[in-house]
Amino acid sequence: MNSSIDPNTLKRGLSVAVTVIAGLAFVGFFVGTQGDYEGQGYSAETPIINPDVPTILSYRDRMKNPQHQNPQFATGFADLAGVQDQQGDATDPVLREEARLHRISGRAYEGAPPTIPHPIDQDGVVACLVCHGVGATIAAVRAPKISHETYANCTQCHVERVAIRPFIEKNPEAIPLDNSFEGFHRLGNGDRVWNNAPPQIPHTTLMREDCASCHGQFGQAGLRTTHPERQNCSQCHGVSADFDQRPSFMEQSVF
Amino acid sequence: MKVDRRTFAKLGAMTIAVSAASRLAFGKTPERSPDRTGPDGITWNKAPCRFCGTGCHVQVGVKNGQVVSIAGDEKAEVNKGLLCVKGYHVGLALYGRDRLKTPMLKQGDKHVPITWDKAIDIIAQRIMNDPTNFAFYGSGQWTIPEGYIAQKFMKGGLANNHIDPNARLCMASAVTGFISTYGVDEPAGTFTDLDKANIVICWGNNPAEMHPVLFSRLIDRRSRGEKITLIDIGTRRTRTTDHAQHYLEFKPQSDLAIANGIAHLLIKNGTYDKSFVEKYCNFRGDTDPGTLNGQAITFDAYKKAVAEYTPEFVEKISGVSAADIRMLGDLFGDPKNKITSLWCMGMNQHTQGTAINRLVHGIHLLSGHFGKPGDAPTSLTGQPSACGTVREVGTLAHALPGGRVVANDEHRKASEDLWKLPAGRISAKPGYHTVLMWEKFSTAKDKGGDISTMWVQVTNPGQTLPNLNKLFAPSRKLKDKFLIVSDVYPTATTKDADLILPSAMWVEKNGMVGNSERRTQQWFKMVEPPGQARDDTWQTLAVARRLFELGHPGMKDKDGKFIFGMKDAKGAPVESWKWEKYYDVNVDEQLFEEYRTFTTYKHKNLAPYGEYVKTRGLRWPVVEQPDGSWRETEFRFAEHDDPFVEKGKGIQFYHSVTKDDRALIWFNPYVAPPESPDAEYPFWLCTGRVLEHWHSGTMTMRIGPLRRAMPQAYVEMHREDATKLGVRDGEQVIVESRRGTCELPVWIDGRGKPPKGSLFVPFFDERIMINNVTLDAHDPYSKQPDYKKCAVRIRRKST
Repeated sequence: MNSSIDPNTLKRGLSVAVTVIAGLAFVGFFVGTQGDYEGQGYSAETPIINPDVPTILSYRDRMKNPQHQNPQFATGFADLAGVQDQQGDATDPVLREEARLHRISGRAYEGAPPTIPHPIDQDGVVACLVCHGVGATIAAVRAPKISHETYANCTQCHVERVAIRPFIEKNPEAIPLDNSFEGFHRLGNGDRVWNNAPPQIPHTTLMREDCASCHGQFGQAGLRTTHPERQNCSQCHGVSADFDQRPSFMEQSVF
Repeated sequence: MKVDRRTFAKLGAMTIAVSAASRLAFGKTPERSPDRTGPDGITWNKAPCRFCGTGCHVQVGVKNGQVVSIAGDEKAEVNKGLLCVKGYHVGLALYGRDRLKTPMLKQGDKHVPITWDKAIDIIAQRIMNDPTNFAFYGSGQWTIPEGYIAQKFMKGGLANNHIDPNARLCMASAVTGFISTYGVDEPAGTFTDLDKANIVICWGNNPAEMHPVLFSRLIDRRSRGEKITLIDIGTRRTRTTDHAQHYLEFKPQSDLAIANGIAHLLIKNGTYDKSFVEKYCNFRGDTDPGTLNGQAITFDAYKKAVAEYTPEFVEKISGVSAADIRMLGDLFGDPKNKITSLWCMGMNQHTQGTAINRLVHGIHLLSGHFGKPGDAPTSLTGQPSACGTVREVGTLAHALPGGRVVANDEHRKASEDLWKLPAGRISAKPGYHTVLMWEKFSTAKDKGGDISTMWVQVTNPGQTLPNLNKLFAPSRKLKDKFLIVSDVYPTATTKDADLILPSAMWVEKNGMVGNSERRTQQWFKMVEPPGQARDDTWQTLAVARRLFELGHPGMKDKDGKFIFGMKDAKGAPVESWKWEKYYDVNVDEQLFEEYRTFTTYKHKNLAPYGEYVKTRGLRWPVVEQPDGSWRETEFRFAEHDDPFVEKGKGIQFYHSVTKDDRALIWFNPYVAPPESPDAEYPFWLCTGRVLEHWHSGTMTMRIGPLRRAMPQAYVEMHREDATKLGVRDGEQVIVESRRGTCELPVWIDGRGKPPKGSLFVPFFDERIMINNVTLDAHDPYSKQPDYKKCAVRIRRKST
């Protein structure tokens, strides 16, 4: 072999470069959403652009300068309401309970679309998919992969958990927000026919077509599968008809 | 147990026999659709969503008498399992802790609890004392039976036509547009067109936020590899713009010029559909003074009228480039395209609302983009039953059920016959439309304000009427005006009401509604309402009965019987006006079956109640087939689908204004708006909705995930305008018109982005009453006010 670059090195180099680019895209988005939104309320002066914060680079420019680090990186992510990235999987009951509580914190009930724990771009959905299109973990922050790829209007269902506005809500008591709705949250575990049988899926699969979204590497530790190398989940884990909305035999026969 | 083939076959046969027997036991009309109880002890049943006019079906999960879960209904054709954030949280709307739970009477400055009996007495007495000056103000959220009972109570019972709905503020111009074009109301196409069109044009609407499920139904096709061109013709950048290939920003009101510009190009380029126009269309223009149906004009006169609207001329009026106007002309001129137009408040809340509706229908007819799957001009509605109740039951001051009008002798007679009323009961004079009704209620009696008692159900006029300082506020200071409000939460309207009645809502009662695509939907009561809250239908029924007992002659039919007599399965009378007996029979079903007899006249045929129980709604006309099944209609007036089109006709407008099966292509000129920005009031103001909140926010502001995502209203303005005025992002400012003021914070580059010289304020927030500022000028035919454009200025609080 007379070429000086070994194909494996090239491959590794490429994958490092791709990871760096994806990471920067992720970072760039959050820097973009930060800008004017330093804390609650408006600042006394017209916000000026901080010269320490680099302008967001175009993808072409990033290719030229992959080492360009963003000083806002750490502070940006500290604002996110994510959990610390943990090691482990769904066999750990402590992690599982933690994951369950975490899910409840972002949903009115099991099956409700989770609210967004970070600031968002008000007018677009392209930004959502930069991270959530493939899923990512950066530092302690997880961006779960979208579990229903064909739906393109993300903000139709997912809204900010806490609105970040340049103003503070005035006189909130005038319209009381005191709701006694108690959403149903399932306890979790799927049924097993015998001790070591693969558990049944204990939830509906509507909008949850991609199991890896929660049970894969970007899901919470307490939900992760012990065997991520196996890709065909429903081969062993059956969908329970109890959670299925399709017409049952009885319903069809009565009508 | 060992199961061999023989046992299996036996079991199968037994199951089929059992299910056949259960079918017999249920009878043809099942009392309830089957509840499914899952392993968690949650019982599931279907209901259409409580909010907008899309009419998504949800599955409602109930446990221990409480709604605990919601799921998108996979069997619903409208939404196919998907919902929007409001729909997913619709169950929470029931559980705000400040639900109204007891009837309350205003005494001095306070509201004191009273009994239902006393409340019903007070209303009946007010009506007895002054029956002709009583008005009923309802809504497109009235269920079909609620609207029907109110309609019959007023027009058939009290011989009083002062009944109008908030939908007057919402889609009245769409109605006049349809009626003056096709001779009959409601769209020819359905949402199915959104699955077939390759070009969708949004005329001044923002479906990404206002009809998100429909919007997804359209743009999700892109994820499946289909190509759709989305054109956003708007006055500000929105989330819809983000998905559109073309954004055509026009100056408020100039949509009239754009539509005429397209017509001009179709004719000039010879790309209009000659055979379609020759076979199916007539031309129409205004009379002087104008009338709803205008007068016939020749094709030559039409050509001459639109000739003026060259792309350059349209550019001058609208600000949309001549190139973009040509693009629209070319798209409409290409018969291979499948074009669906969508519109909602932008075209309807317009002082030329009827005209712009006619013009958009006109360019579809002229270009032949009509009557084929994907080719349709489709107006959307904002309330769950704006179509089902307001437009079909006809709870408008001039209308009778099934497309009839009070001014028509035959229509009155037919209605009297169907209602078994003595001849001459129904008054021929239309009642007051919304704006006039509230003006009369807010004017002292000696100054001509003859409406003395107003009963408001399912709506919040104290926040949503335009120009509140003129139409609403004065009534609260006049001694002889009595305001009755049925609602579920305290609102801007209940605040100073004289009598407040607590209502049951959504799945706390039975209901039926009709969505934007002619789909009639049904649901059953699933949970009990809180405290003493009761159904609106019952409230009207109880007042009618009290009037009957007091001897009001209108509450009797021609045989002297009570006009709302309910019967049990054996035909024996039921005292449904007593609350404890109200759910002994299905009052909704009995009212609906009576109403259904009205619907065949304009070919808006509805199926029996039981058919709606089984389905996720059916689109009328629904016609019985030889095998006893009921078939819905997707494409009206088109032979390939509409059962009322004669064979061989292709397209038949069988309720044509001109009685020749042809639709009318109208010419209406561009007319300047009644108020435009000037030196004193230099900004346009547009009002509207946001994704998270629905209308006046009574329900959605009490739902945590929605409130926290959108806690307060604001004013959107362009950054350069803000800089010029020295206004900072987030600063509290005063928006001021000739009519009133409103204080609120600025949000620059927020949810929407208005162009320079233009502001946008959402109206959901009762703490920020933008309708103190808006204009009450309205369309001459539809009487619908224009909330989308008036002139305002911005004042900083410190100056």
